[in-house]
Parts: sequence; C-alpha cells; structure tokens
Amino acid sequence: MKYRYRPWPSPDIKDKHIAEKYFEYMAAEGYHLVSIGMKFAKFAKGLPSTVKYSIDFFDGIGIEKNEYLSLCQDSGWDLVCDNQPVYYFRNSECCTSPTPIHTDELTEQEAHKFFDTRCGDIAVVLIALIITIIACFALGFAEAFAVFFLSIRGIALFDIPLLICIPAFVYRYFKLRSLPEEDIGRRCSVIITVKTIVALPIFLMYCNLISFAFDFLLPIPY
Amino acid sequence: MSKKKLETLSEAMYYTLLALKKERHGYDIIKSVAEITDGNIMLGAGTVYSLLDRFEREGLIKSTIQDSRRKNYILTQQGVLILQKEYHRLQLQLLAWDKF
Repeated sequence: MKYRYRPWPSPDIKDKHIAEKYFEYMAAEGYHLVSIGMKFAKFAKGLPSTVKYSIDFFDGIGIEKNEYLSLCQDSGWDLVCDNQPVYYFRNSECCTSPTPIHTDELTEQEAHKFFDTRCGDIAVVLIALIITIIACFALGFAEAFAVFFLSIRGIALFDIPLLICIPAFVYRYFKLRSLPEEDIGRRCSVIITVKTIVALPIFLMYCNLISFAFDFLLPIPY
Repeated sequence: MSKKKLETLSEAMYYTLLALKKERHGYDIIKSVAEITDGNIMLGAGTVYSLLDRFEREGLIKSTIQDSRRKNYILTQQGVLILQKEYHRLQLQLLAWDKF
C-alpha cells in the first residue's frame, strides 16, 4: 500500500467545509484519508472514488463518545479517524448521500471554530525579508550578507530558504488565480502542496531567526 | 446557545422534543421525525446529539435505559411544558393568518 503525507492542519484552510472538499478532491484523485496526526494527514493510494467527508467537533468521552459515534454511524457516517476533539467521517458504502451531521445552524456554530486563519509561514518569510533589507541598509550589503546569509558556521541557511519559499509562494499565487473559486478541493491541494515544499525551508528560517535573536540579544564579545 | 433562546424553539429543537413524547434513542428520533414530516425534516446526527445533551442538562428530558452504545430519552414534566408553550405560540401564529 502506498501512502502520501500532507501537512495538517494547514493554517490556510480556514473552515471545515473547505477541508471536507479537500479530502473529497483527494479521494477523487485516488488518495483516501487514513489518519490525521498533529501535523500530518496520511492518505492511502487506492481507486479514485466519489466520497463525502464530514468533519465534526466533539469533546465527550466514554459512553457519551460511544453514543455520539453510534448515532453518526447509524446516520450513514463512518469514522475514519480522530484527532480529538476533531472527528473525521466518511459516508458509509451503503449510504452515498447521508444527511449532513449538522442540520441546525445554531448547534453547528457552537462547535466549529477550530480552523484558525494564521498565516505563520508567510509571516516568517516576510520577517526574514524585512530583516534582510534593514540589515542591508544598516550594515552595508557585504556585512549583512555575512551576518545573515552565512551566519551559522558558514552555511547559508537564510538565503536558500528564501530562494525556495518566494518562488513557491509566487507559484501558489498565480496557480490559485488560474483556478476557479468553486474548485475548492483543487485549490486546497495547491495550497498544501506548496506548504509541503516550503515546510523545511520555513523551519530553517525559524531556526535562523531564533539564532539571530540570540546573536542580537547576547552578542559575543570580540 | 444561551438558556434564553429556549423561549422559542428552533425547528430541530421542536421536532426533537416532539419525538421524545415517547421514549426513544438518538437514531430513533431521526427516523421518527423523518417519518412524521414525510422526509421534509431530516435531522443530522450531530445536531440531535447536541440537542439531547443540552436538553438533558436543562432538565427537559431524562435518560432512561442505557447500554454501552446509547441511551434512551423521554420528556420530563418541564419538557412537556416547554413543548406545550411552543405549541400555543405556533397556534397563535396560525390564527393570526385569518386576522389579516
């Protein structure tokens, strides 16, 4: 069995309905959700199929949880996985169009405010760029280059991530512009693919920002 | 949902309470509401569960039999009163139709 991993939860996916569309798009491409970890979603390669997904939020345990899950199952929703308190359901094979898990706006609103809209990745790239520009002005280009781009044991851990992240975000911008608004699943797929590409560079930039902060606050006396 | 909102019941609340005039479990409520309304009102599992949880906390229903998977519920006296109040409110709305 082949598996594919994607970063999850993506800070770019703002609400559960968009996430559901993304899972449905992946299923149509032949990738079926298997599990969700703290940071990654695992998909198994299989036959492309039309599947409905539903995400719900529930914080009960014990008999309450059993009752809730059996009620969902009786209504045609099979539990795929959970990352408490978030539960991921797929429609049962026998029930291709089950009643949505929530049919009342009030009860739905109560639970569903989990997917936040932080844009952490873009913020890190912007901070890195701003620091670079300020440093270039303040220290002169050669000095700034030495401080930031060759800061950790002579290895350029700042410019390489930037060289990967900026084209990736530019690609994302133009790709999303070319896709219709209603093609939510494909749009999410683009966002998450870009997120996968930039994950390591972003991590390196985080490290370098922290390193820079330490250098700045606790300068080594020469 | 605040307690105040129970002064008027939503459609889902009304039908859930109505179904609990007889002792039922969650899925039984969904089926019976669909049956009573000829499939016009389909309640979602999450909606029913949230409502049952809330109604039980507010003393409108009580659980009777329970096994490891599910509980049965029935209206309490307070639940009956709330349902009757809603019934009269709806009746007044219907009567108003003829007055205009």
